[in-house]
Amino acid sequence: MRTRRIVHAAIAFLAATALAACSTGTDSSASPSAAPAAADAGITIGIDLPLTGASAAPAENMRKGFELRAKEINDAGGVNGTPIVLDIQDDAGDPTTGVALVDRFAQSNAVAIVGTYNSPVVLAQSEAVARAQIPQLVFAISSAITRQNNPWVFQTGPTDLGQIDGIVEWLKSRGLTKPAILTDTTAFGSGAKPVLEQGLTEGGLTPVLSDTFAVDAADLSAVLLKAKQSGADHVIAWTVGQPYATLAKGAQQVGLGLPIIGTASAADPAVARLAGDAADNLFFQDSVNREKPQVKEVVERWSAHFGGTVPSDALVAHDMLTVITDGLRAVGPDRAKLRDFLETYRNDTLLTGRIDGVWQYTPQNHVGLVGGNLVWKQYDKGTIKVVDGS
Amino acid sequence: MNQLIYFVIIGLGIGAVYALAGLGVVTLFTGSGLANFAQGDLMVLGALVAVSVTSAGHGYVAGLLAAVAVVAVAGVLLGALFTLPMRHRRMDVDVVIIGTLGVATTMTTLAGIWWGRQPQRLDSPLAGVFVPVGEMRVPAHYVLLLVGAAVVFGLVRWFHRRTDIGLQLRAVASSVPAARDAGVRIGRMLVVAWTIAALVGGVAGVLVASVLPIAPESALPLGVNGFAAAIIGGLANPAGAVLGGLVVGLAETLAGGYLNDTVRQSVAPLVLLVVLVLRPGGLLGRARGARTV
Amino acid sequence: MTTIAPAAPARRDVSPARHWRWTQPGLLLTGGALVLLIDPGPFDLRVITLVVAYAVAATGFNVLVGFAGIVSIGNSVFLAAGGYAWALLATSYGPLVALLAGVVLAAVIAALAGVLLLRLRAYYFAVATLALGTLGTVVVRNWTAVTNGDAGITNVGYIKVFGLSGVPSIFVAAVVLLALVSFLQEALRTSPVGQAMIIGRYDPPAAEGIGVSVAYTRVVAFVLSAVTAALGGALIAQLAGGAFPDQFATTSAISLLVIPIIAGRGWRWAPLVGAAIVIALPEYLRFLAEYRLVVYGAAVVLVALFLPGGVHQVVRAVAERLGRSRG
Repeated sequence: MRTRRIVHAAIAFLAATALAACSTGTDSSASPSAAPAAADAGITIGIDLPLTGASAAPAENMRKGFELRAKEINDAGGVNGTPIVLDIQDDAGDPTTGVALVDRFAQSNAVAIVGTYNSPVVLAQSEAVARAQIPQLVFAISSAITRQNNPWVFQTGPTDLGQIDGIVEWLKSRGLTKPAILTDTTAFGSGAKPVLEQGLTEGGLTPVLSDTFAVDAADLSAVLLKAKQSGADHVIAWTVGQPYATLAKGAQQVGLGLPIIGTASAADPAVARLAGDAADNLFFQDSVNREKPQVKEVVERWSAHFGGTVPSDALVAHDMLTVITDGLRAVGPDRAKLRDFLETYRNDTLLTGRIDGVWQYTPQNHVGLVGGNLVWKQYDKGTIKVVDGS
Repeated sequence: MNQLIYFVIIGLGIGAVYALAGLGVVTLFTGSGLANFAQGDLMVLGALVAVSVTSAGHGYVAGLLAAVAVVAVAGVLLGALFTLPMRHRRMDVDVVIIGTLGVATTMTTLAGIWWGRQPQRLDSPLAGVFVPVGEMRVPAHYVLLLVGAAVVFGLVRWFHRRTDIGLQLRAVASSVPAARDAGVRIGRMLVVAWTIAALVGGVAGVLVASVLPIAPESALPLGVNGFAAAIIGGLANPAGAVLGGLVVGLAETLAGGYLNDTVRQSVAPLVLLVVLVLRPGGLLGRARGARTV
Repeated sequence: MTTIAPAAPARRDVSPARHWRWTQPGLLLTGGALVLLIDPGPFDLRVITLVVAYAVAATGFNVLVGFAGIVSIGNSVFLAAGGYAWALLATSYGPLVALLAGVVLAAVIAALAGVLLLRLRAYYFAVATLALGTLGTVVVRNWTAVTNGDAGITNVGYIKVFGLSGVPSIFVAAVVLLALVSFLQEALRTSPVGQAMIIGRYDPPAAEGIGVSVAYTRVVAFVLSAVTAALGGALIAQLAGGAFPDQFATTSAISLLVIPIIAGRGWRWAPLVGAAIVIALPEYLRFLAEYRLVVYGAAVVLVALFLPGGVHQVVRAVAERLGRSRG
């Protein structure tokens, strides 16, 4: 019995010294894996999306957008004669899985990573992306990603800051001064909450209420009633897709009577389908002007391929793949050259942005679409109409 | 005052959603002694079938019937699957939990492949009808939800208390060997229990789908909320699930309406923990909720 | 009044297989060295490290479910305690303080919750811990002053050992920790407290009769499960390069629950084998695309229903057949 105790104590001591001898490393000194060679089978592009879990619905839209665009590119002869191959993987919205996927794409010779959707996952991936030296084009809109200044990470934009600038400008033009902020409790909404509060206050619009709501709630009228009684003259609601329908119906129930301003994803076809004309007071800035001729073309191809209305998410995905393949055409399948090329990229014929809007990167700016480039839209009797798209 | 009435009605409506989910959990537990973490998936299955049928141009009733039929088949299949090992031995709690969680993962993913991930809503027969409360309006469907929960509760209670099969089911739930000795056909009863629980889930799913947009991923939160309702009330009592659901729904809505959303998010788990610390068998459970040692 | 039946003949579980106490850590360290020698690609090494991290986290859970027969669906809270303690403290106070702080925090939460909740019956306790996990997520998400909310804490560093850097260093640290907790697991199995847990699981009244406090051993088992979960959480945060609420949500608690059960409750290799199935299998099923989780879910159901002893049951059957053919 006694010897056993001594043995235990010895082990514990040894383990403790082993741990005490170690330190916390913060470097990332591992060497990057070899740049991919142009294989005969095609050029692999890694697609990272949260295909399961809370963001599965918009991720599915984006997956379809990527698949449609890849088919168009390969039907037209691929990139300089080589077809592109999409390696579509699910990160389930989990940062740990997302980081593992970066290594997976790096190891499997993908030339670039496109996606993902959730900002926390992108923030977690940043270090691994820099270490693997693989360019990444993300859809996540958090300005925290912009602030990381990772030379390998590019955002489609507009970021939350870009959207907020547009909102402040538009509110002032309408004489609205007292916002009630409602953000959802997912990473999307709670990440934007402090940015919104600060951005609006700096714009001279001090929020009279800032509360949160759950995206899977059956009824959101309680929080809207609070907004109504707070003396606000408009409501800014920050969430993704379907909850806008729940908000619209709640507003109808409590007789809110105030404009609700949403994010670009209020354009989700699910909103009109679920809320009908309850959505009439819902305003949002969309990155897509559906009057653009090139958008109309894609809309036709979409309905031939998948049927139904094409969601804005899918059009953004379409653009993301265009940007990457433009780069591959110009500099070939080389990660470092592709990154350098992206910093000089400029395109005014993409699907997103206003008519003549420009998607542009520079070494200082890794956000493709900036704030003023958006189109204001409004729901009207269950359909979306453009309020200000010039 | 109007505001309080409004919150209470909305809270009861949301509570009815939890109660309907919880009734499915309780139905299976009282019929087999199994706790089903895939109950939310049975509700989603019912809802999505009903949406498909009604959007193809058939009516609400046709959608409800189709949902009931499909979910009943799923219930029979799950019942048969879970009966095979149970005829010989009692299933451990941990094995039941991960077994039904495995079913939930499979069903959620399959529903995503078959119906897509986009949320769907079922048009209520009462769409566009509102009950005015002061200057606010409550959708009439909330009343339908409460009535639906009451009817399902009544039927489940009647079935368990007043029919011969119900008696045999309760015998299986309390002790498999004793029920077998008394001449109960265990395997058959387990399939019946699963089928009835699935039917409750299917009807609940159709009712809920008119207030809550349903996507395959809604299953886990629905199932967990139902479980919370069932446990708060006392797992073995259908009245407990209804009471537990209404308590949670009311507490959430009042907390969200008068306090803030952080409190609202914490209310359901807090109510559950407080109830269990004070009454280990749930609100309507017997004292045997606590371990004797 | 327990509802959990023996997963394996108790005779085997409690036999004092002393030599295994040293053999298992030895095998683990040797295996870890071999993996480093083979030098797998960055993705494979990361997945293997994640497996080892979850194995560390699940070792205490193996004790909880395998020795004491208790099921918790809320151990994500302890993963979060370890992960956030690491994220907040590691870069300024060093790895030892960060690990210890996470362990202490998790142990305190577990002791308090255990005293309040462990008198509940099985399903009630399971759902109560689920509520505890949900509360944990709400706190982490809303206590932005400390946790930075959903944006999470990034640039958290990693544990540097033997002059290694990057994932290999985390891997080595994880293997050493796994060897340590595996040793402790086997030491516990033959210790009075471990024996009391096992007896208290199979026959509580008899255990009380011979002077064992079942309530006490149950709380101890719960605290142990929290301690290793906190260690695992710290490793997971290092691998992800940060601590985020979604990382330690209900899904991770479910993973911790599935690991020991699918491999065989109480088996000494259950944490590692189970983690390999739960963490690595879905990663290597990616070629199945959208059917990946269908296959994984179905596999879990089939094991739960028809192989309640998990992989251990198969291993034992094979070993017995081999033994018979030899004898």
